[in-house]
Amino acid sequence: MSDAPDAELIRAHLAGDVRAFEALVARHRTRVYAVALRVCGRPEDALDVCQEVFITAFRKLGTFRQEALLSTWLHRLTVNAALDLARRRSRRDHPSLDVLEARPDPAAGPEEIAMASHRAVAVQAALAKLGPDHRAVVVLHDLNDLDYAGVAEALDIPVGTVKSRLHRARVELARLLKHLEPEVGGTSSKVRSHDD
Amino acid sequence: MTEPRADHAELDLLSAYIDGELEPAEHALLDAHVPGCTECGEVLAALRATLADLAALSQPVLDAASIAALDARLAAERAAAHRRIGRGWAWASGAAAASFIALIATLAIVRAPSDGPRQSGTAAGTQALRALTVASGTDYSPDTARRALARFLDRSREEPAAAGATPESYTAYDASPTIGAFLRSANAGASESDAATLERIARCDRAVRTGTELQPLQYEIARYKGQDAYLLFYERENPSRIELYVVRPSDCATLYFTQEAK
Repeated sequence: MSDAPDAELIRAHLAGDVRAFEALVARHRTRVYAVALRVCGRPEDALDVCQEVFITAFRKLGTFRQEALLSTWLHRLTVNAALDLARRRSRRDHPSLDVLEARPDPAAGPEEIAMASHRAVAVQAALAKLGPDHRAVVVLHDLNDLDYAGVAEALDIPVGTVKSRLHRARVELARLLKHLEPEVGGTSSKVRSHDD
Repeated sequence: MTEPRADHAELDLLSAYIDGELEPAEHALLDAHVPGCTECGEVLAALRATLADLAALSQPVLDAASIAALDARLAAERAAAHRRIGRGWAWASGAAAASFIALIATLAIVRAPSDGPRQSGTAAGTQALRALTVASGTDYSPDTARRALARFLDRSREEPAAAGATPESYTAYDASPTIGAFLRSANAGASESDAATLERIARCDRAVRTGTELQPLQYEIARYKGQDAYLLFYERENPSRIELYVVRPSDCATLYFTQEAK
């Protein structure tokens, strides 16, 4: 059961097999949570998003088009739900420090680890400052290993839009993280609070 | 150095260049242009530093408690769905925590179509009630209460949000309980206030639906127009609709009622 492809599990679920849906949840929940967490910034919000996404999946799998990838659909639901929740949060809310630790370097001393934690918070805070469309492409491509085509499918936008949006998002992040001066990069006039 | 294009358009291609997502002709163009271009060099370095920062973020993981909470919520959803289509079901628990297994046992008891959670005085009834209970603390108005009810009809759309637009079904997200609150109510040991709250909810549930065909969807501990309230969500088959009773915890008086056809 746990090795069956998504399409097979969906068929089994629609035929009434309870374990099939459980297998789908077990397979996809970490990825859904990962995307939600980086878009929302807060673990409790990300869990709410997980709940929403899988409840929707449970209710709507009957209408799911079998030729599309389940993971693409879940990505889309997750990004939408996470962005909506993130919009509702106050901009002054800060992401929790304890869950945003950077990958610990085994050779790192305590000072380096502390710096890495602060860096991680800065990165997540910078992500939170991006507009929703910019944040979505960065989270999907740079943090979740989707290629341009995958991001385009998940967000239902053309690949060309992914290309330009991702670049502008990264330039904005680079400025927020002080890797770039505001006037360098040529897109300063194009980076707005509303995304293209 | 190859002369830059008008407006230094090469700059906009630098991300796709790093990602290897340019057409071969464009990629060759940048191969020729970049090495001699100071500004491109700065931007490339900045992009690489930014990607390194992003790569250093840890990979999010779901801990066991969060997985249990998610499974419990999905179990409640499934129970509601199977009451709607009126067929029995068998539960395969997989790797479940002890409290989760207790939940499974009580939901199996609750199968009869004309009953939701049974007499809440029993431990089994309390567990079933608890599975459907969420605490949001949201302060509702008639308008947001109606929207909360509407969410039971259609939780989500598949289409992504168009620029600036928000899918309708998420506009009432302020009504969603945090899973933290649900986890505390579902998995924590029965504290005195916890049991007392469930007993009050059960009392109001009985007051509302004894003698009716109403099936519970959710019980929400929240507020209404600034005062403590329970939002009791039900569904009915004949006529087919969903109903929301906002009641006062102390005496189960109905503060607000709304319904919507399914």
